[in-house]
Amino acid sequence: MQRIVRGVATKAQQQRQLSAAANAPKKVEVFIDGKKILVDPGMTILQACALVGVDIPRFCYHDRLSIAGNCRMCLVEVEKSVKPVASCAMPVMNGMKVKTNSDFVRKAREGVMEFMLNNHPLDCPICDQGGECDLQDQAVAFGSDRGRLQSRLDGKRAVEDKDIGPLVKTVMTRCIQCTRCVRFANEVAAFPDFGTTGRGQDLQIGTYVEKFFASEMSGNIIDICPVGALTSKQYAFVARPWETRKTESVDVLDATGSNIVLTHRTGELLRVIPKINDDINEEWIGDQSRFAVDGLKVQRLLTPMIRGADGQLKPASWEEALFTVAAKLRETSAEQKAAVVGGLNDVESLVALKDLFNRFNSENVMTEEEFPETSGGSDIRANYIFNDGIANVENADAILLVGTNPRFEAPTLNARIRKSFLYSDVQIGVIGSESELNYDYDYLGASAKAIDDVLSGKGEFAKTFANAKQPLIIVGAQALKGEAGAAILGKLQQLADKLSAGKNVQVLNVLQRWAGQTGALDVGYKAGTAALRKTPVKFLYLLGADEGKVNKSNLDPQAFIVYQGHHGDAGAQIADVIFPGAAYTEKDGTYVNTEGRSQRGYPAVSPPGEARVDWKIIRAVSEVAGKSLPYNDLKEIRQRLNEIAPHLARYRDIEPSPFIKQALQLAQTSGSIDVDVSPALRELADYYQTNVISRNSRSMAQAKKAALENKENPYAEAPIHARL
Amino acid sequence: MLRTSVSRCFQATNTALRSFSSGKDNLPVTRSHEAKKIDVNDILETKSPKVPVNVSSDETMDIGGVPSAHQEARTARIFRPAREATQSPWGNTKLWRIELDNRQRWENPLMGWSGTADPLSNVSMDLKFATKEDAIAFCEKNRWEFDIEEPHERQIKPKNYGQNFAWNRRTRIGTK
Repeated sequence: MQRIVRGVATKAQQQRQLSAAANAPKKVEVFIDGKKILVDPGMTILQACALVGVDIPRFCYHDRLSIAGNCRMCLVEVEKSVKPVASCAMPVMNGMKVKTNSDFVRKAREGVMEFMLNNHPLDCPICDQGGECDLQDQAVAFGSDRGRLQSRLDGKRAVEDKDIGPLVKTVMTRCIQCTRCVRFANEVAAFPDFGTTGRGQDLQIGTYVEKFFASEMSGNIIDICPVGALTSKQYAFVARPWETRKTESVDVLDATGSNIVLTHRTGELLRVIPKINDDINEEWIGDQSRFAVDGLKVQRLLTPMIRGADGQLKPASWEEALFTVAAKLRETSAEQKAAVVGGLNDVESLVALKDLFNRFNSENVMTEEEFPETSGGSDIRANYIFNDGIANVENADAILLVGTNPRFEAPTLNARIRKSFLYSDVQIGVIGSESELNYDYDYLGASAKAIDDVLSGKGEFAKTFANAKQPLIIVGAQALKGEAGAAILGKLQQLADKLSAGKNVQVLNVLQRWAGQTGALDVGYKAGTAALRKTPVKFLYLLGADEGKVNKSNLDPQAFIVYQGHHGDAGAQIADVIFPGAAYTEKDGTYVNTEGRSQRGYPAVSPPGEARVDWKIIRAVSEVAGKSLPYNDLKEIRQRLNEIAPHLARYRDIEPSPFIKQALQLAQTSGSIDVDVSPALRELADYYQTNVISRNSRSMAQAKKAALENKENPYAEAPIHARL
Repeated sequence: MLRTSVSRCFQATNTALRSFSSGKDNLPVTRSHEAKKIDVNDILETKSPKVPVNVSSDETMDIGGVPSAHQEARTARIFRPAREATQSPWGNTKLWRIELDNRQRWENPLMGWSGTADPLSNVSMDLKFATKEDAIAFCEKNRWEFDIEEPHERQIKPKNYGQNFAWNRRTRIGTK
């Protein structure tokens, strides 16, 4: 009797254990250097080692690319295995005992390293990768102190360099054939022309027929190359990593707010590389963010200037310029004043400028980029931000792109969509232009009236979209302008409401084009310059407004224009007084990205010449004009930011935007939406020069030229969209 | 008391030495029988118990001579650096660092060397802390304002070699 009872209990226990095991994924027990760890099944040994903090040396393995397993540097010893095991490709098995640092392993790695170095030139002193080279470091750590190569007899391998465009320099003799760049090109950049030819020692990386690396993400192959085979043309022979300083900051050349590391030396900015942030840019940045920084050294405004009686801008002192502007500011009546801000500004200067205008009873502050006023407009935050967050793009199973080309407006976001396209069953629909987006999609037309079809469930894509578990609409800010823009926004709100019922998604996401736009709308700027055209103003303050949305014909003939910014471009051309400001690499600044995530940029170098930090210039104007703004240092102005909108001080996190239902109630759904919503950026050549910094960048101009020439190249491969 | 007696003794010797050096006639005279033996406790003062002197770090900063422009006026950023995108190991991402607000630097026109007027510009190079709290304590001790930046933790998503040949992939473009 007792035995039976015990038997029943054990069975119940077993069942309980079984159900628990069914709920939780069954972990696998692995011993790494004697340390026990439970890991998810299907992981590789290398990943299991990473979990316990053991770095396995590697060349071909990369966290964000598929596994190749061809460099053999990651060999480890596994108990009961006769041969060493390539840990990057070997899945873990229960009870596996791994040794990562035994004599056996070290001997194996030493052998691999000797072969690697046999075919690698000894040109470290003239190699740009020197000091940040994986091969250099690992040769020191795992290599032998001598090799057996008889270069007198065998000779060294030498490979001809390839020309893959004006951005990436190649020294193919240094290549160790890890194929990271090939996998990056195929998987992330969707540039399938990049591949390998030949076998064994004769294996070569390249495009076979010489052509431009036609991708907006091409610069990333410089970072992932573990040796100096692919380096930056811009940074060639410029500096060594140990003599530079690094400042982790935020990029402003697109609205995603990619995290970057600014490298500088002796007060000179040398290069930009991505900083890893899984929430935003993973490990990549677009070419514009990386290479356009050479534009920060030319065409800069170095001293204040005043337009003389002869119509010429002449250098002036800060006093003269400030007093001239302050006098005009005081004598112009409130309704005749206006300020227009561009898209690259930090929130600090935006707040200071708005406070200054408010002190003079003017609420006439606006952004160059437009956004509908009706239909809730920018009053409801959920209307103008990327509600679901960039990282969530990966979880979506249906995506509708309206009036946007994310490939060129936000390359890192597009890389996520491509990732999702490759590894999941996501269905993508596009309303706008039928351009190459790195993934296949259903083209629904150029006119926004295709939204009506999706709303009413007409067509194949509309059906999959309606049935999706995690649908996502990404609408470009460019499509949302004017009357039609309001109607499009209203229609999309309706669609989003229909689709989000019972799901944990917001569905509607606006992809801004400018890094400063979300911040400007957050602190209460009016979107668009329409107000300027209604009543001609006499005093106009341009803060980095260079897109030419405002010109003299919009204003009173006697209008006085102040331009504050860092480059001499469209804005400075029409100005009567110029205040030289600081670029994003030269000032402390808060930027809100398109998700509504507030991030902080740090200065790497100081502003050139007489230029000053932007919010301080505005503060100085306020003092001279007799209405001092109540903040004297960065801490105090950040306090002011916190008073206006507390999320601006909560760095790093996304501030969620409620009231999406209320936005729907305000939505204006009447009105024609039969407008062409094709985005302005359609092909690669359009991508390179979109803002005042990249317009002045030499390397971006060269890249644009190369992209245009590439169009004529008969050997350029057909775009994916046409091929699939 | 001891000091005075010793110094008197020295004075005596000094005169004696002077006289010794000035001529051979005046030889020093030792009158040991006149010397009085004094107990050592009579010379030493009464013992007071040993008390550790509490010098707060505040006080050291007060008397340390660091100009206020390099105390409260500076802002430190406490962070853990991200892995450099150009290299694969994660070793440099484990310790916390302090970086003070960046000030102007310039290049020496003659030699091209880098110069700065900021005495603390190199602080970030060698200061590494095992924990965030250590870094905070250091900033507090030096009276620097500080912002803490939480690191972006590494995410390890399982992947395996077999995925290269998976049928659910949209494109089966070879990787090599």
